[in-house]
Amino acid sequence: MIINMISSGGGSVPTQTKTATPSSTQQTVTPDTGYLLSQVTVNAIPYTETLNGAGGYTVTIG
Amino acid sequence: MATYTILPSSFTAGSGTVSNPDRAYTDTSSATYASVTVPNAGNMYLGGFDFSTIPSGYIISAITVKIKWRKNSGQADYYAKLIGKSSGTDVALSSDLTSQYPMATSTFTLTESAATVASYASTLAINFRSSSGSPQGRIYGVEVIVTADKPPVNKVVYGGTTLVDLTSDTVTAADVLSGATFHLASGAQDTGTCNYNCNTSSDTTTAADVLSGKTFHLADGNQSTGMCSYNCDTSSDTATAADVASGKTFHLANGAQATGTASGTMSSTSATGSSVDCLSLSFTNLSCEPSWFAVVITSNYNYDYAPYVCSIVYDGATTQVRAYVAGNRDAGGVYPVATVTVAYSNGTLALSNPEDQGDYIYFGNATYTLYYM
Repeated sequence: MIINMISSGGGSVPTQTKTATPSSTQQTVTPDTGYLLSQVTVNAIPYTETLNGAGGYTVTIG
Repeated sequence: MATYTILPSSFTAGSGTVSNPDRAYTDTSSATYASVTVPNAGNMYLGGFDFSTIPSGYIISAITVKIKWRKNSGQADYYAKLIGKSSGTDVALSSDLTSQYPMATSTFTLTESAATVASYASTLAINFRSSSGSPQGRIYGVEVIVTADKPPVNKVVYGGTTLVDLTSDTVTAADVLSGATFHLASGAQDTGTCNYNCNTSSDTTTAADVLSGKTFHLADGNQSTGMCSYNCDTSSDTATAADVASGKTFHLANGAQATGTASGTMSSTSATGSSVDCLSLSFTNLSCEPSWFAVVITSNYNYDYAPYVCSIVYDGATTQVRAYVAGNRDAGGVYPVATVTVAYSNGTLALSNPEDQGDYIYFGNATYTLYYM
């Protein structure tokens, strides 16, 4: 439907970019209404290391 | 594992002097130097080592401290020592180094562990002192080389769920069998040192089987205390069934229970002397070793060959020999010191050498009857 609008009307559809950050659950990136996604940036998997009281590191993912 | 080189940043002259102190705030590759006049008071310090470059929590495994220095030509020796401060008092962390000429790079011999030296990080310093006078010298640079390891990961959380968590573990090397590897709460790998290694799970011992008061371990591994009051050693006992009254139970040397067979009735057997001057007599096929016996002459007396044995009585403790004197068979008489050798072995009772104060008393060729129990 979007393609038909471009070929008949000659006007441009506004685009947008989005950013997603991985998590432990699935997610779907969709454009807002009236927009096309021109770019999706996927951030690195969140990963932190924190020194804990037992003398080691706690690794937290996501 | 990472290496960090830490340089000094402060030079306290104390009662000595320091020229161009900043030239000493470098490592031992430097060709420039701070000039010093070292006091005898021991209050000259080169310190200000900043350990903050080492990430927090890192485990320091080794420290090496080097100094490039010298005394000036013709000057007396002066000394350098690594110290830390505790309540304002110097704590020695190395043995002394002695200045040299020409310049040299010396390595301090640490007298404490790397962890201990690192604990004095904020007060760590090189202390310079002379033994007398104020010798002059040069300090080109000092470097503290620290080897540190990033602590291991001991807990993993994914999406809010803890997947692995060693932080609350209490196991120590003493809890793990010797040679077996495991991980501490910190995540570091270690090796067990416990030498206790036995499997009691199939043991059947109960408290009733163990002597009273003695401790042992049950099949479940728990310690228990024996309750058995039986405690005797039969291993050297020599009693046999023939030695014990019939029907009475007793224990053999091997610990097994047995029943006596001794009839308790008197038995008898006979033996005859081999010649007129016979001094020995053997009674064979005895059913047991006599606990008492009596030997009496029963036939073939030899009135003319005297003295000869009339009777021998053994009461279990002493032997009495009664003998006849020649020519008077009724004379009899107990010889108060008469003796006879008695020996028993394998069913044979042997009597020999009856005598009275050195004089033989003969069995002759008479026949004797042995009564025994």
